Amino acid sequence: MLSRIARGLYGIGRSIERAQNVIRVLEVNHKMNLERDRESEQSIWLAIAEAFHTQSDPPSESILYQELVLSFDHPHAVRACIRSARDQGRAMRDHISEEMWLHLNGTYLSLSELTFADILREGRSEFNRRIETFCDAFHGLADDTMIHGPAWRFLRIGKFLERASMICRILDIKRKVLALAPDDEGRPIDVHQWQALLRSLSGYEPYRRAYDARIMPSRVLEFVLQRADFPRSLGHAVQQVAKELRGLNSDRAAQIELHQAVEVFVEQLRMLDAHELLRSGSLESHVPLLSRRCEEISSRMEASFFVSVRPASAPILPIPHAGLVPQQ
Amino acid sequence: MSWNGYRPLAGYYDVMLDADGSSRPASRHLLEHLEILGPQGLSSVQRSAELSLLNQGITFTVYSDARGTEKIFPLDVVPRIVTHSEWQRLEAGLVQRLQALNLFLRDVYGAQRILKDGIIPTDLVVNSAHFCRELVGVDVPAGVFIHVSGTDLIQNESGEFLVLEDNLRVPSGVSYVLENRIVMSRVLPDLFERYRVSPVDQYPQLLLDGLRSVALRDDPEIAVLTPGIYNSAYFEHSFLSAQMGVRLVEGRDLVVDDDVLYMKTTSGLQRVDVLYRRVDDAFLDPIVFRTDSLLGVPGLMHAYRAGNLVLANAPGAGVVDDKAMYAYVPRVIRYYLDQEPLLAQVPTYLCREPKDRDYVLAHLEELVLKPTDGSGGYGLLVGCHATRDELAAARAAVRSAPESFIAQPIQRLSTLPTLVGGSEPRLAPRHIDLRPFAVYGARDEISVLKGGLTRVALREGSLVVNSSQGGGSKDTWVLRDEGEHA
Amino acid sequence: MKAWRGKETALLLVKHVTQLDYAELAVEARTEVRKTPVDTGLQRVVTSKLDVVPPVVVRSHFDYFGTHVRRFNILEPHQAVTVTSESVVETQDAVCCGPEAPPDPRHWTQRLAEFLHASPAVPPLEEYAQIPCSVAPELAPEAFLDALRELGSTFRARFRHDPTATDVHSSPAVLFREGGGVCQDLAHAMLGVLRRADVPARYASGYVYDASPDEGGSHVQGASASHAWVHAWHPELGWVGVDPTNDRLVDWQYVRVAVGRDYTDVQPLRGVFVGGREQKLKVAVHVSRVG
Repeated sequence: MLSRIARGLYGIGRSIERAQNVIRVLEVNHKMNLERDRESEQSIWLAIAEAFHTQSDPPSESILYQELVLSFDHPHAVRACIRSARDQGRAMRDHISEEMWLHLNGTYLSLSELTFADILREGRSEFNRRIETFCDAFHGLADDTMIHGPAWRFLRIGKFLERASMICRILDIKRKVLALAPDDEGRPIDVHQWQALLRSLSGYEPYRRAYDARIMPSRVLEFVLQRADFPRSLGHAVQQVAKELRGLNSDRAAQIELHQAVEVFVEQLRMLDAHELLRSGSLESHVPLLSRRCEEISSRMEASFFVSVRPASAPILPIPHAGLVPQQ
Repeated sequence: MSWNGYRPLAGYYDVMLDADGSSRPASRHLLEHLEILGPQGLSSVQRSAELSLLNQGITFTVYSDARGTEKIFPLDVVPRIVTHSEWQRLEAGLVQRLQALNLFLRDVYGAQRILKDGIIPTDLVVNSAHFCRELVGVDVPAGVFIHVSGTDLIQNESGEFLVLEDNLRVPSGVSYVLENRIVMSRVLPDLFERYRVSPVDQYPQLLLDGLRSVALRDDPEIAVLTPGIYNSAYFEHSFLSAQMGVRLVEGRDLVVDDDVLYMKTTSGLQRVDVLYRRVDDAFLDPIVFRTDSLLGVPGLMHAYRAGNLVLANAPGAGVVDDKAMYAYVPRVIRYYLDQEPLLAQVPTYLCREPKDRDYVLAHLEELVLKPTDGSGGYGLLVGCHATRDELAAARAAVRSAPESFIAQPIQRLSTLPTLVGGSEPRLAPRHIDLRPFAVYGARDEISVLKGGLTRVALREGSLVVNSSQGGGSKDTWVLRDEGEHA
Repeated sequence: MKAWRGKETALLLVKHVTQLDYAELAVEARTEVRKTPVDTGLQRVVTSKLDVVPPVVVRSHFDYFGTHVRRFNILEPHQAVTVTSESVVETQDAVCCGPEAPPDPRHWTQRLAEFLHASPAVPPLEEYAQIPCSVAPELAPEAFLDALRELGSTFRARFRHDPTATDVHSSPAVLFREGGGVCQDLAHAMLGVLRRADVPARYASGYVYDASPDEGGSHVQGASASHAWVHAWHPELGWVGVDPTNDRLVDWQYVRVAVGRDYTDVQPLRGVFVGGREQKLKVAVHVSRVG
């Protein structure tokens, strides 16, 4: 498949996933803050601001909404992501289904004039839910209306790589405020934080169904990092990337090596001991390692599949005319 | 005929009815069907057709910011019927014409015998904006320059088909022909059964075969080069490449390395042997043509010159498209084929020739004045519709730059019943033309698609059939045999 | 050392170095070079070579006008390109050699139609009428040469050599307006004047040797750069060169590289690359006599 098309579909997958994750983080923390006092609210917003490299200082909810939802420029802003996905989608309309296009374009248009006041009027949670539903529906349409060929796989690789990166980022936000004792629920505030972590990944209900209502930090960590049958765990995301790479069936050295690296990562995650991580206090140092692995895989994706795409910033230029102007 | 009292226009050839208002033999079934449908029935068929077009998804969508889809070229459901014998004459004439034009191109970019023999004025060719000097010295694969052509034809008041214009550079519109046929067979199935209509759906296969036949290697890799989604014909580029099962690429997907053209794919660089390029000559290669073009591929012409690539159509074919060249085409046919043209042309006065110029200045009100392609700026003038000032300005322009103009007598374009009237539907005569498409393959194998785009001027009295100015289309039914329709 | 009088020959050595420096790394550079002299009725190429740094494969072809084109690609990242062309050419002490094209049944107004017509860099301009021109192909040979010399003088008197007045994209209108320009502008303007007078005229590019009177030549402008002049056509004489910058007819001091309708057909360097906009161009030409 053309590198440009593969890159574009991969980009759409990443953008939609990113938008959904950002909105969920904001939603979860918004809900949490309805019950908190001012001091801890600040620290939550601060953590989010740091994790997403926003400019706001000091961060407040409305500023974060401006930067992470409404901005057209910030790489993590919901509107920027949806616009990017839609622009890419338009360029590759022949490779996505008509339903996907209409869905993407429709939502993009509905967001184009939106202001923070509009969001407040609609209701934050209602707005957040609308965005989440849009993203879910988009992925559902992709699965049900596309041929499960290379185009679909690149879309999914983008989605799951973004998901993996996001999980690491969310963990990063949380590790600053999480109590680290593995078996101890800790104070109610700590339970709340672990719950929030789960909710940020839509994992609270699944966790409860898998275990009981007791929030045990090591179990939560295991759930979030390794649980293969929980779709929003890191382990699951990386496994899906491996699966789609396998499905692409490459014969190029760099691509095969990338696939192998991902399979190795899958194994490493499987071997993690969540309990030990918490007990030994090394979660703090481990999370950045996981982030780095995800980044590495992303850049290797670029290098091995998309490298021949000319970056937009390097236009063709004419060599200057060696004029017949006599030199003086 | 009882249908709303439809009457053909006096002095014009109507495809369905003759001057007395009775049906031409081939249109008898059509007329009967229209009578059975009646105005409301026909309206309802028209609405079904429009809906069908919309539901075809990508079909007529405009790649714009707008929500939903937009039609860009309306279809009127009353088809144009061409009898078997009419078509045979037309096709033979087209094949002859295309063969001669291809030979002309070969000669003009080669030995230039026709120029040396003084049959065609040299300056007309070498000073044409489309004369491509880069092509001289290139061994054009299989000697084919005009792989895809769309010739514009009209019928005069006697129903005779005349060539109005050749389109040999990047002709478009065949996708409408294919899509219209799908819709028509859905909304008028009974009528289809009554007639034996030649199919058109094999066009993508014809094109693919033609492109393969001229390739320089076995099992060639073929790609369609598009300027991208903002181009108004993008749908057709995408449609044809999908139908042919070949890749659609943009300039940035291609790279030339060591005089060979490649596509950038996830499996690495893949060689391209035949490029069906829907990008104008000037934008093909920023090294030798326009340096500011981002639509082309640097080094494309080097690959072409090195004999590693087929370009369809070959650059430089525009030298024949020129309106001034048009008047000389009968000479071209005689020179290369030693035959009289089978298809007539519209009589043309060349203002560059003094006798013609005097005639044009004296009879401007009865003529259509057209700028030749090199003149840039001045538009078409229809003498009988022009104001006194416009006529004066036109005369002045002709005097100051005679070589920039040709003139033709105003043609009485044939008509066909077309559904008009909105909420009070009725049939009315509207002017039409015809653009058949042909594929030119190796060994001079020319396949003319048995059908074509009938364009209709939707506004009453208008002779302008272009889509951008109130035009629409109709399906063209070429009958497979004489049957009982003579 | 060969004698310089009469139809003797001279051996000229031309070295032309073009250096391009980029502020940012450049990739995928593709270039056509028109710097190689060709054999004509008035000159013979003894040796000729082209070197490129960074080293690349250089291919050749002859274009529509018979110019020897060299082309190369530098696809890897680079920050500078140096193209060095070195040739030894034997030139004749003559201003014309008769028609060189094979016999052709067409009248020259048709055969040379493209040199009688406006071209991309020589648009039709009212200004051409300002220059009196008595050159005509119908004149007898000597009268033709005289008229051409006169035209050269007219140009010398009317326009000054001024590199600051125009740039490489300037239309001849700028030359008329500013009263000054470089050889390219003078050549284009002269083409306009000649074509308006229905004289087939073409643009020639190449090099000129700055001779001294002792050698039987004259000092000239433009020897340290790529130079341009004009060819006017006469049925008996063939193409005769006139140099509007130096007000003389083109003789043994000139080495021809390319001809065309105007500058756009003979550009010494043309091509594209991918990279940043900042580029610096340095050109050094040295023409010496070696025989």
